[in-house]
Amino acid sequence: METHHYNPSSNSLSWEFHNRLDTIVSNELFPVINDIVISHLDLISENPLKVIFNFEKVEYVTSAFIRICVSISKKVGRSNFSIVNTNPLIKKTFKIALLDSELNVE
Amino acid sequence: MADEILDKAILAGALFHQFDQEQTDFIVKKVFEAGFENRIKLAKMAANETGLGVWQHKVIKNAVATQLVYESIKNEKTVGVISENIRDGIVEIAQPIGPVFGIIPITNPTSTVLFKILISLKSRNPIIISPPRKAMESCREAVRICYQAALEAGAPDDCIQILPESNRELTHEFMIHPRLALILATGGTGLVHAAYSSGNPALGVGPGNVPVFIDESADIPFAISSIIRSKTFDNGTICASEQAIICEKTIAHKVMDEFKKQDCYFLPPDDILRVEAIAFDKTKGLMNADIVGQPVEKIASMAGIAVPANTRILIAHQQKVGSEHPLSQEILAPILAFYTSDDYNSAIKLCIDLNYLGGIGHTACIYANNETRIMEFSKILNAGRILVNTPSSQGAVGGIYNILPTSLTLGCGSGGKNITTENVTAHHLINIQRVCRRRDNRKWFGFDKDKYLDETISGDQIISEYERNF
Repeated sequence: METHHYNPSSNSLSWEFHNRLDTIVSNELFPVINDIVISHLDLISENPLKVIFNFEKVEYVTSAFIRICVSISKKVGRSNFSIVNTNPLIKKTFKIALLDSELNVE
Repeated sequence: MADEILDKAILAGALFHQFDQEQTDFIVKKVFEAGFENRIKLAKMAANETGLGVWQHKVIKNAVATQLVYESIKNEKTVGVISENIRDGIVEIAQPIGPVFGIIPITNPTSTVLFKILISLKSRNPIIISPPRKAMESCREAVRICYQAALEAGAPDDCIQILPESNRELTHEFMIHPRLALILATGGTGLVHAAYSSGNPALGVGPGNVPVFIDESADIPFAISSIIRSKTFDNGTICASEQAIICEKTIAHKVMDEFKKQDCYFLPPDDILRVEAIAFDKTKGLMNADIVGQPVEKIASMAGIAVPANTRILIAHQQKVGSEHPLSQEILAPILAFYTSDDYNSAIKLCIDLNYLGGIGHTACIYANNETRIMEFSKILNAGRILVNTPSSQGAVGGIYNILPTSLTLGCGSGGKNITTENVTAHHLINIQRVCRRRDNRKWFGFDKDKYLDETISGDQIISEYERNF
């Protein structure tokens, strides 16, 4: 469902997601992602914690997953959250939702 | 409040972009089924809450708004490539338009909610329902039923929303909101005008004033039966219902006798004045809202007149047409104006006067078995729908007596200040992109364009040269 990786030197957490991020998957993911992010927020580092969601293999998102993105972005700060490697349809979805800038969707 | 609701709608619309035709059609099917299953409950709620119409007829309206609307849109392509013309090199691609603001009339509340939701979902658009104050609960229940079915079928959260209250200020706030994509306005002239003046695209539908011409070639008993079936449907609340009957004096007695035979009552002159007084609000210049959708007995009681038991329609002889003659105008109740004319041309001129008295572009009706007269009537009247030998209420909405797209939003063209004369349906809620592959115009490329710059060559010569067949 998801794999994540922490890079201490850049103090960044990255997740790689797969396939369809539907409501059921999103509801299961949220507490997991949230706990990991919170546990890393307290780490002492020169750099602020960055969170990167890799969407290379994501085909579909729901509002439940977008709420996760918004929630995590608020926790780490807008400039420290990004979504990368989106396919064009997902990119357009965030664009129409007026969230592509806010969530730094690439 | 508008910002919050529209934020949700925009997100729903964005998520809807990811759906293919199969997923979209599945959602529409499930919502149709849920609406259809609840047609009786919603009809009773609407009739009780508004005090208008007949609940059994509202059941039919709900069935039309679900079953027949679904039948008319289910095979329509509304996602991705919707047509491909290889020879001309044109491919059409459908895109959703975004949040739709659906304004609901009190005369057909739940059926219009069901209809607007189905065509919005079919085109992958979120919809925000704006209910009338006096039909708040029934509209809310219709929305709840459809939304639950849509979610269960996998539709995006907030794809259907309803305003928590109904007032002009809130409606206006939505209509002018820059993030709204389209207003789907069904209602009175003022509301439709406000929608068109909002700065947002709008599909609006104004009032009707349907003239019905009975030609001497018509089957009179059939015509009268058809008119009565239509005018009494839901106590006349459909804007496409008949308002005035026009016939030549040569057949007037036959027509009148048939109306009487079929339990309609011609009002004596004094009673016409009494009915006029309660049917029309002269200060507002509009029909009196209190008589809309009311049965004959109640109208008679309000007017203080006695009518035979089981009277189905009250009919008033009229000579003239105009704002000073209240019954020549739209009255959404079982009341008909009745005109006789000396000849055919005078009858048609009366129809034109009635047509242009508040009902331009809406609907007109003719009963005839003379093709020449049918076409003459059709060419001269200004109506989006000209119904032939058909009950106009049920005929105009399509799908029952003809194959017009089934719709509860009937375009009235420029005459009604509308953008279309069509029955509004799902394909009006998509943006169509055209992929145009190169197909060179050989005439253009074979023509010496310098000739356009030569003042000594006439326009005719240029056209002749351009059209030359080598």
